[in-house]
Amino acid sequence: MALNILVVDDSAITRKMVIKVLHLSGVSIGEIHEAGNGLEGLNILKKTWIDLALVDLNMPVMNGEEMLKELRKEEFLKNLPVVIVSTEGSELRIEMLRKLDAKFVHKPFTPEFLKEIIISMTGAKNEDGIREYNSQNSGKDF
Amino acid sequence: MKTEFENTIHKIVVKIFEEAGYIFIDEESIEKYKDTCPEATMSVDFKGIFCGRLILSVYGGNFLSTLAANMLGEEINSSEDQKIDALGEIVNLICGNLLPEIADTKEIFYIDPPKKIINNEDIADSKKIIAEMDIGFENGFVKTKLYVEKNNKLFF
Repeated sequence: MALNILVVDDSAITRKMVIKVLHLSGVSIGEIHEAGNGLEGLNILKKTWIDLALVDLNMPVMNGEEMLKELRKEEFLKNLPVVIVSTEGSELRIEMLRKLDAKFVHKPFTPEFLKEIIISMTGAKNEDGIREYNSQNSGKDF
Repeated sequence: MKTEFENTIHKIVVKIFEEAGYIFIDEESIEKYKDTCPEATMSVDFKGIFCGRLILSVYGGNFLSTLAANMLGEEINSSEDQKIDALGEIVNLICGNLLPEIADTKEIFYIDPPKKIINNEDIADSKKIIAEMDIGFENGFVKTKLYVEKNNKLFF
């Protein structure tokens, strides 16, 4: 199954970089949607089927933490796999995000690392169709 | 000789330019490009156990174009906005990676969006520079300045 992915970041160049890394990761990708802040991201999620959201933390209008809290309140979004992609270095803040059932990727990151996390969260396949392992088999926490 | 504090800044700046910008260190560039004007200057303000501002200026002529092209993975000429956005992301990455190394990973810092600095915008009197260094890369060099609020007992 190809994944529909939402990339939320206020920097256009960062969104492009994340998308480039997604393509390099070898994960099978369907549609990629982009949003410039948490509010725009929520609006896309309400209208479009998304399998995974990659969300920055520090953004104007609505930051990544606020967006995460909002989407966890929605019945149809509460189980959406969310990866926070940020430079955040505070263990306390990262732990708060984990309690909201999000994984955390520290910037800068490699395609391999992102791929490992995406597969662990979604059970996604590589573009060549070979399943590496699914989320049920993965006990690794990031 | 660099202090431990300056070594930390040097390590983070080099790491971010190499890993995110695919631009590699070349200390000889400082001498080579020392008479050039800055291509662009960007800053980020941060708040936490201490507050301050990180400022990054790039020198060299085509440093910014190379950076944007590398980050976008495109050969085509990047727009001015893309070049500034690229440097802004680099400043953001450096600041985000630097603060936990200076302070502690338990401390929470809030980092504002990057801003472009025009005409050597003045730094408020409440801030004092605690580190300034030039680091040479393949296409030029980078001047890094770190300011913190003077009223912070961690530094003053």
